[in-house]
Amino acid sequence: MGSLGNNLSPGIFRRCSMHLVYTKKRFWLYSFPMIFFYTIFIFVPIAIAFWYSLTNFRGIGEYGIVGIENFINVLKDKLFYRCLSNTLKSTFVSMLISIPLSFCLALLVQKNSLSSTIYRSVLFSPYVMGGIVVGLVWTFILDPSKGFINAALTKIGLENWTQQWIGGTILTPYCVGVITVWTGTGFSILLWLNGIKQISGDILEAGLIDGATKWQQIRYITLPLLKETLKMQIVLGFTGGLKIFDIVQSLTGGGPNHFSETLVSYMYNITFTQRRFGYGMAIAIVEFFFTMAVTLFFMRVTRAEVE
Amino acid sequence: MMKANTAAKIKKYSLRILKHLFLISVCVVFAFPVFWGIIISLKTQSEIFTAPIAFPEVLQWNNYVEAFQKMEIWRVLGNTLLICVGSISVGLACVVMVCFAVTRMKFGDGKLQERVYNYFILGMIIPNFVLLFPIYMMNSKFGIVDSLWGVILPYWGWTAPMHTLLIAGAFRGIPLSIDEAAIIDGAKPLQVLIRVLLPLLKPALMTSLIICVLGCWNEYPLSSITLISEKNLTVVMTLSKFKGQFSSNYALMSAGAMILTIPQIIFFTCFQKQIVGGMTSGAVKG
Repeated sequence: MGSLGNNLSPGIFRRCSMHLVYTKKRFWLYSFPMIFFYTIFIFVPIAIAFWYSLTNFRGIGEYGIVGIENFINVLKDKLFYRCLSNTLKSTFVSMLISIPLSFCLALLVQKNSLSSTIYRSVLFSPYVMGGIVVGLVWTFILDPSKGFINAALTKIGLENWTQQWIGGTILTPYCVGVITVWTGTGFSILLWLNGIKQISGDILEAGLIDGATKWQQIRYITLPLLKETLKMQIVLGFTGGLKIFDIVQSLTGGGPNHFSETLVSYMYNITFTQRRFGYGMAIAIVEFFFTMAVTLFFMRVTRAEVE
Repeated sequence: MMKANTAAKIKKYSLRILKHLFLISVCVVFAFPVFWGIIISLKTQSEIFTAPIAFPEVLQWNNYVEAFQKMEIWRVLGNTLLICVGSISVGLACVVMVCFAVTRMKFGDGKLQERVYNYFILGMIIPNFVLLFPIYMMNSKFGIVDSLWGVILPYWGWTAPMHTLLIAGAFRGIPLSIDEAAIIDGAKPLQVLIRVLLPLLKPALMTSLIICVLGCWNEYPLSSITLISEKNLTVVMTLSKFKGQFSSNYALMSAGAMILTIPQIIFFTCFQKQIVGGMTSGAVKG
């Protein structure tokens, strides 16, 4: 036995032992539970959503198949485009402020000192609050009649600067964008810091020896090396923006008269508030493809560069 | 020489002070909404209208007492915890098992394992909102509308995509020779997983766990269509009903919001590194 073991190369011996233990049957035994739940709760629902999007189901009574009528109505629905534009407004406002702001802040808090840790924690803390509380807390600030901003403006004599920050017809999406900045900046800062950490000290030192000022270091060394992080920020910002829902729901509920609705909240309110299930699912399917297309597009763009 | 030195020093220190001033003012702005919520929660109802931006004259701690009594806080917390424990325990256990199968079970040409893994990663790009109504219909078929199970069960499946990615990545970081050694020593597959690999996976499991808890704790859309009756409300659902329940009683509303939120903020902010670490690897590879 001993000589046999010695003659076989250890690699073969090992691979044999692995093959003896692991069989297809065992593989399925271990994978089955997750495959089962995952299929039942993600792929089956998508199929169901497709089915209802072809019907005029309203929850009770008979319903029939109306084919692609719902989809045609979605594409002709003015409200749908308003929701799309609201969502894009919030997304762009939030990205335009959050990405540069978080970069500057990341540069300022990159040292591992106590004060930096405190700053980072304070800036990160809104991220862990759920959208519903975020909406509540900001209602106290933005509410046109009792909120902080309008009260403060009135107090310092700028009554005519007061605005319908929320609940009006124009400003809500932009305010939602600003709120998203509030919740997301701390996270973005930590993303930037992850990127900065990976830049080797040698490169920065070489820059210093060559006489680069701090500003030049950032402009010509740090920034170009953080291209990947920047792309990730854009992907996360955009795909996250398309899913904005909780905050708006808690802030205005999409109102008044659908003026502040986002893509997801419109789908939600048509389906669950108005109980137009067929139409709601058609909206859901359109948004589903839109979101996936955008996500895949951004992933393709970022990945092409990585490889 | 001396003069140039002091000038440089002054410049350095003033820059540093400027930096801290800037950071402190940004932090004040960021902390302000929650701070303002606390201020409002300590005012009387009439103060909110008559002196909207003044500090409260007498701190109204009884707002907290009243909000506390109105909320049935223990049941609400209990429900939320039950949902977290119920959904995460099974969800993560299944994820660990499938990741073990996919990354450690070497047989055949490895295509099968890869296909199963990719099947899970596919879920990363599927937006959850499309699943809401179908799951509502499924719940009514299963007879679990208005029951905590209606939120727990879907989460067993929803845990899969992101956490398969995280945990499988962690598995791949452990050298295969460790399992080989254990198998040669006569360990069964389940023993390899539990005794040998799980202890090595602890950091990744912690990260996944925290992200799961954060997600479950803040879950709104699914709960809002599933949990209807008083006895099933979670923390977030309670908060979402505040606007109706306390109508325009801002003081009580914000007192309630602060009771439910501040402990949560402190708890999760302690884990910021794990949250960002996990989310980042999810975003990069996805």
